[in-house]
Amino acid sequence: MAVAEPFDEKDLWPTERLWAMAWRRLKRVLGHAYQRLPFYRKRFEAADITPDDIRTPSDLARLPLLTKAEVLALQAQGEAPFFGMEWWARQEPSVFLLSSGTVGTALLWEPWSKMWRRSLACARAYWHMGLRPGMKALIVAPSWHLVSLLDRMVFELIIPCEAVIVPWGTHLPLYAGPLLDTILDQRPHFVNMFLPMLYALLAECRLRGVDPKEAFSSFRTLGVTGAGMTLKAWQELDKVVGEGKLLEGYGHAEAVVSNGCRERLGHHLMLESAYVEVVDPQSGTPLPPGKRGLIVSTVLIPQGSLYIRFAPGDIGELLPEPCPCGLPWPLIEVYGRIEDQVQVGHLTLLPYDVRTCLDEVQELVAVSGAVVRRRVPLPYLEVLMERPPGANVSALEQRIKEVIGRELGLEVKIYWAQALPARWKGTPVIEEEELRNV
Amino acid sequence: MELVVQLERALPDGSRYQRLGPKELGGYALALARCWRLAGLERGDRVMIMDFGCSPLSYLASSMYCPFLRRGAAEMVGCIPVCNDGVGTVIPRAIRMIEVLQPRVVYLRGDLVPPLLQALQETRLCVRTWVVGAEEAVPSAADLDRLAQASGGEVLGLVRLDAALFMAQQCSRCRAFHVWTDIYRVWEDRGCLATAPRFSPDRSYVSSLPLRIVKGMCRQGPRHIRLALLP
Ligand SMILES: [Zn+2]
Repeated sequence: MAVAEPFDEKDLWPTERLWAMAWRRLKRVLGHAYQRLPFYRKRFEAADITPDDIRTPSDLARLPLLTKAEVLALQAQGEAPFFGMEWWARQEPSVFLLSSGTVGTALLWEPWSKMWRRSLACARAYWHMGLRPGMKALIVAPSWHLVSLLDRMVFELIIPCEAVIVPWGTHLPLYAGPLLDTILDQRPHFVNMFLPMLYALLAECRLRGVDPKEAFSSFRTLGVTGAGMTLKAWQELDKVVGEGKLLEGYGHAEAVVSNGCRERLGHHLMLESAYVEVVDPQSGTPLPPGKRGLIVSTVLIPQGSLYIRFAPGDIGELLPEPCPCGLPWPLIEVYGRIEDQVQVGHLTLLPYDVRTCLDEVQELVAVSGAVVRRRVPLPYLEVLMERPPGANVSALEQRIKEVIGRELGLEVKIYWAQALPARWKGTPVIEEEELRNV
Repeated sequence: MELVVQLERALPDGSRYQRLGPKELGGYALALARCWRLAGLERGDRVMIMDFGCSPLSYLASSMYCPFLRRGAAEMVGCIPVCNDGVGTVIPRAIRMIEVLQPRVVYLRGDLVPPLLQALQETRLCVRTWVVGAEEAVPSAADLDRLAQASGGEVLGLVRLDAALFMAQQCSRCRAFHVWTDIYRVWEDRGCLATAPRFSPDRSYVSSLPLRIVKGMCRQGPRHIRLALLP
């Protein structure tokens, strides 16, 4: 099926042609980094290779993965403001962005021309999410965040909006009040924000006695990023905000831009600005579509801070089937963070896998449940569940056992708690010691 | 096509939103660029802004932050900005970023001074100048003194009147607030500061800030109007 409203001719290319374009750009970036950037020159030399040795995607395994911890160490010791992984071609406006995360915050130096080219990929993503000229768009991301810079470019210069609205405060849930006021007063059509803020907005609606469907009725698109949502969680949330407008994206400041697709859970990768691999976490070898592994990406615009084979720690897979929406851009699905993996028997699980099973029990869709991690893995799964008020626990337990057995092939031991601590909301991983404290 | 900014406080007509087009944004950003120069920023310097993205201190800093803004203060002065939000919880991150980037000047929201002072008990930073901003308020002299002592840097105040797209900044030489007469008209209304931007004359505003116009001239800006603003 051809895509109904293409953003440009690339939306009509076959997927193989898009991958070939990304590969050519990747090769150019590798050559550029080897020739001009001391940080990468050293990495190539330490691996005893040159860019010419990388002839096929599997050769990429010879170039080590780049982690956030390495970048932080480099920036802590380097000579400010540049650290050997930046390039600039001419005098032009530039800013430093921050990339926050569990291990710390890294700086990215981003000149205008690079941000412009990344914005073209972002505009394509937003176009497919439903942004059209003349709409009113909200910027919720703070100025230090990539999304704010992309929004700024797209909303004015690529898909010109009638108004660009900036609420008071910042993206943190604490500021949901002024954001909800802005939504109710200005009636925007499009936003791309962080999932915790959407939950905070729903709480604010409850507090004020406002029906979320009413509050969000002006939106054509509610884009969210920042968490791997299960299909069920997405469907439930979509119903709450008014069906058909919730879309989940995936991206990070260093390279990836993608858009959530209305057809299924998965994100179309905009390969024009980032080359994306899913690799074996141990060997760094690229895995074929359909295999789960570490998401690795390389920015394809050789300006500003350059991240090559960067692994932000997300686990996902390239989906093997074409998307029913007709877009040729490949789909990726993101399941969670590598530090949240739990070994059970011969399986390596993520909370996402357990949540997908729990979601099949209707009474548990919105109920928090923690996955227990043992230092020495057990052959069976252990889950700590919040007891839903008035529930028949033994009946629920039976159904959880059935679905975990069917979907994961595992036995499961269930512990019930009156309430889980607030910091465990959702589906967290807890260590065995923490189990005793509940 | 316009930028719609939700304000910290309502405008005199009760609205909490300000609508800004390229002309207003350009004039407003010029005022910020003048503040930057007055704080000692020069081509090639780095500057950090610890304020929300909805604050003019942030969104006027660069055309990369703000739609419809042709040239931000960074493009006019030739600096590279880094923003670090306006909440106290991100102060530890700001400290690390200052250590890595070594900005010459840091602009911050007035309510971040207490948590910053706390953090400075354990760290020494080599920031040359801190500028503490406040909306229709004069940053407390005691706060500025404490920050100067704790940081070893120079500390200046900045006063905003968002309704009139107004900014005035303290000068390190004369300690008065400098105002640029080609950007703003300034007068006294019942003892208080009143102003209107020349680039958007309809946005005049009478503030609640008592003022005295300082006579004579300062070498930092012989043609600037200088104000003594009283808290
Ligand atoms: Zn699709």
